[in-house]
Amino acid sequence: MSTVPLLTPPVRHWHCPACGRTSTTTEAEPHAQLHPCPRARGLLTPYLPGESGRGKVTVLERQDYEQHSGLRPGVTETLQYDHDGRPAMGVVVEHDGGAHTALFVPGINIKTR
Amino acid sequence: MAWSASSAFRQIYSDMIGNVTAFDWDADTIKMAAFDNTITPDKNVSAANSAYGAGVWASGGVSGTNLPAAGVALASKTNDVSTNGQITLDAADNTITGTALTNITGLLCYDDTLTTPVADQGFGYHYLGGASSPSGDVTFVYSASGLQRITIS
Repeated sequence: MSTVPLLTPPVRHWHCPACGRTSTTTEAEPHAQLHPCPRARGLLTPYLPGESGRGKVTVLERQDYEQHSGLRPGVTETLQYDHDGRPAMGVVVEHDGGAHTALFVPGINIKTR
Repeated sequence: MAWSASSAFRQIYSDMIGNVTAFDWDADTIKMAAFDNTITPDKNVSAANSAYGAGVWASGGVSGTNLPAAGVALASKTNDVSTNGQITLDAADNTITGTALTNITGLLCYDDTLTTPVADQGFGYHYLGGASSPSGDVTFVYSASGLQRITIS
């Protein structure tokens, strides 16, 4: 009887060039790894692949400052807030090999009363 | 006018309640297509005008490497009712690798499986809060509260 070897997903190492945190994942599919970065006002920020490296983290500000959230009856949005309570549009991590941008997609809230 | 908020489409909920559509969040292919800042979405449009490729969604599409104009499919979708009074529809974040997107401003969430009452009927749209032009890897980070949450109080 032949045996079929079990394939184990590769271990991927990640790091944040801003706060220095590291992480590992074992997913087989291409994926991103995020973390709440203290250097990005606590916003979810992409890790960069690898165990170390340099990079720059920039917060993308929302251009409308949540003008509709909570103001319309019945429907509101859930935005991503920084640790000061300001809504953000995303976070960009630039590095020598390019950039990784996290764009925050608001959740839609439907409320019945 | 332009994008100013995120919203569900009124018509698809009416069609679900009226058994006009067999919308199935779990089983259907649900896609997120990207659009720029030239359009003005409207939550009150007809089913036909909520559909991908129709109404305001006929123009202003944003695409790039690994992000087709028709969008990317949601994976690991969940329909959670474990919290009192809440229905939360969620999915795993989508990461588009090695791309370049111009003026991405919002996403249309639509059903790519159904053809009745119309093909590609819109489920909702998500305003990102402004236009940006990211390059490299881009991750759509879906809200911790789900893509849509219905709260019955």
